[in-house]
Amino acid sequence: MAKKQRCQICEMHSATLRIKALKNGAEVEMHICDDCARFKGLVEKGRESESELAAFFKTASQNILGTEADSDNLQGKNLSCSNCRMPFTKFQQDGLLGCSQCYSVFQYELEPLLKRIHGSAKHIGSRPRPLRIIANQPDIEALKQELHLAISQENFERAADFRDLIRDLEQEENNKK
Amino acid sequence: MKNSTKKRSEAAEKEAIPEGLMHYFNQVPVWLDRAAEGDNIILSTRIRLARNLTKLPLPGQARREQLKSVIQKVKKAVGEIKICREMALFSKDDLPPLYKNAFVERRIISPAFSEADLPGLVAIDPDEQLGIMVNEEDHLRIQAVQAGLSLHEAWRQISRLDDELSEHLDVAFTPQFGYLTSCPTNTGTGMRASILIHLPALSMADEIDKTIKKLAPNEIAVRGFYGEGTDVVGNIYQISNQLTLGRTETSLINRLEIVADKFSEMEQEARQRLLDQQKVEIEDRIFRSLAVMKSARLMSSHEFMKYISMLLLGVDLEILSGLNPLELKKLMIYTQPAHMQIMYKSSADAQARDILRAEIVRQKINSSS
Ligand SMILES: [Zn+2]
Ligand SMILES: [Zn+2]
Repeated sequence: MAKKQRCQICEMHSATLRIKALKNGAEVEMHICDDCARFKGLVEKGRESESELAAFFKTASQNILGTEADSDNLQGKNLSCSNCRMPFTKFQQDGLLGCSQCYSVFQYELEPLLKRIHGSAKHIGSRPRPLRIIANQPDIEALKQELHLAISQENFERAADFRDLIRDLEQEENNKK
Repeated sequence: MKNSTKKRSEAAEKEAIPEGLMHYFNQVPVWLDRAAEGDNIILSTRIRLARNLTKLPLPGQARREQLKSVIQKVKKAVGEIKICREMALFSKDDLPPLYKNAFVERRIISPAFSEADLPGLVAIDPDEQLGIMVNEEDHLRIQAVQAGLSLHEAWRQISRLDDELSEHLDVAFTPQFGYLTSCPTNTGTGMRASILIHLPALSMADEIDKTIKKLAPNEIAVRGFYGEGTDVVGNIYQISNQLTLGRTETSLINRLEIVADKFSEMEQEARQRLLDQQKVEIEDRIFRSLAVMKSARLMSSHEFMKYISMLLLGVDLEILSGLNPLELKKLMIYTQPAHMQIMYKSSADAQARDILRAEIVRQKINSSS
């Protein structure tokens, strides 16, 4: 049935996409995973070679592992989750967290990673029903900050998302009054 | 598919089949059945949510007993939820490997779930529109499946189930990161909305990659028929959202819908171009495919998917008449390897199966065209 192939960039996840990349001036086909596909824009825009892309990815993941302020001090390396006992090094290896508590233990390591993957580290989607009753709305002020951040990063598509969301929420609030 | 009592007792001699299991194989999935009207380009819509229980180690890190306790908690919750009342529950240990494969073929469970040697549970409603996998990559993967392009209805269905489950289970969630998932690529909404789309004309024109690049390459993933890490067969692609954090579910769904519509439109245009510029060539491919389906004596499932794609195209372009697209899509389900073993008692031997597949296809196509 399904033939599985590893991603040729991270060699970690299953490849889910085929892309055309430039290698020594010649076009080659590469099988890559979703995560790495997010960096695909690089290949098209800059027409970097495969090795440059891989190099970029290496630096990118190094930046992820350290905090942004102190990127060569890989402090996450010595951390372990107090709840599930998973060391951060295991997460670096297989990319999966050990329990829900890991998110708070590794918060400072995860934030930049989530930003790289999703362009954001702040949830604005739905909440579990029991929590909706207590706090029904995402914080509009926090959303406005995200909006300004997106604009300053010239990520206008994302900014438009926030603009629409803020408008919807404000409208809802006005309707309630 | 006749003679089911006899078949069942024979099968029971070999391995015990959990009660209620055959129901699913004796029916055409509702999402497929309802796909008969109108659009044959977008076959189905699915939304799945990844959810975890607080504190308990996630499947990749947990001990077997801990995973069993997750199963117990979910079982209890499902038992208390009204909309789950008609769901059938199957413990992964009780499912013979053949039936696990068949569930993958029906898209009820993922290949990864089927392969992992971990305690797990599957819950499915009688229509196969709502399902729960326990202990896949996350404690819970819940899904809603709909015919055609129906993202908003699928979202309505899955939110309802999600709301109920969150009343009965301690779901891991923080206001900062949203739903906490095993893999950071799912964090936030934990939502993967996807559509299955049949794109023969774009594939033929070798325009799939180009089209993907054109249509939001960073936000949209294009995968194979069975999902992550699988091949594209029969020109059928799975298109889904990539991002899960920093966007609302509705915004993700709306964007996917736009992309899906756009793909659909571009496929229509590519079909029109084929008709305008390569009429004879495309007719030739379709009629050759029909000829093979009518006469072949050996047919692999890969080959079958290739030809069925051409027949579906032929029907859509009104080049072929008399073939019912629903019957063709049913063949896609029932000629998959595990389904053939279950429904037609074919042997596990690949060549014997290819012979039988060719026979089933011949019979079906000759009787309807
Ligand atoms: Zn990768
Ligand atoms: Zn942990």
